[in-house]
Amino acid sequence: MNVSDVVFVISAYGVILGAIAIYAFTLIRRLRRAQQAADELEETPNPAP
Amino acid sequence: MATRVLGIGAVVAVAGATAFSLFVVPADLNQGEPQRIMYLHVASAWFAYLSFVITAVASIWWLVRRDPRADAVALAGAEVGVVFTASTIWAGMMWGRPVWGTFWDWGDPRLTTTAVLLALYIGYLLIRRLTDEPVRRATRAAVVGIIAAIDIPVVHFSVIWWRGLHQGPTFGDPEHVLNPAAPSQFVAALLLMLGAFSLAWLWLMLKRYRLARLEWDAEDAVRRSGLTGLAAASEPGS
Repeated sequence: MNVSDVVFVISAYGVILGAIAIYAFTLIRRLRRAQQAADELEETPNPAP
Repeated sequence: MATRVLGIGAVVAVAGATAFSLFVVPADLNQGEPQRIMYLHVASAWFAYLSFVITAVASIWWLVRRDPRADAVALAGAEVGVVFTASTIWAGMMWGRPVWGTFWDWGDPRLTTTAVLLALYIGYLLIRRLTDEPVRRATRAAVVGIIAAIDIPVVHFSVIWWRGLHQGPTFGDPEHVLNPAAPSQFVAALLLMLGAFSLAWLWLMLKRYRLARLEWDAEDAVRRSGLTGLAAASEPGS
């Protein structure tokens, strides 16, 4: 087994799975914030015409 | 609840497929350990294609019907597609260095057209940030989403049309799909990774779609009520 070859395999799997996981966590956070903003808007009374 | 189950299933499936690809399937006789990267590379590429095709279809849907759901689907496809295209390129580079002897070759049509594909959809996402007006933004993005899709078949057929370092299509010949030349363990690892990525991809698409819908609704509510102070909280254009 070539050690440098294993480094490439670990780099590929680590970076890609890590990037997808980070993107997933970012999405969850953005969704939570957007949901909060939507709830705030819903609670805010409409201004008089 | 359903997306939570899907998310947990995706994590378990990706972990299982990764363990199978790294520790169960033997290394390839010719390529050695780096061949294991192919399971990730091919799966990423397939879902990148699928994401961008969905963006193109949703873009047409938007231009025809002006349905906010179409714009949300198109945005989800583009953003998730960019993640999977970048993954495809990274996996290809990590495989290319030990097997081809180089990370990258601008003379290779598949590599170059894939880099162009990534640039096009990053451009798509950037164009969405040029305006906060939802209808104008969705229309501009839809036009770009359709034009960018022209590169999808170019990427796919580039290995047939031109000569380069990259091998031919993995499943280009229908006969190879039914009778793959690779050992069954290799095929099983690829199918497992494709299955696992399909769950992860679906989860990401659903979440991004939901986020886009919330952003659109928030922008709409802000505009109608004139509550500009809350516009920042809704993160328009993201």
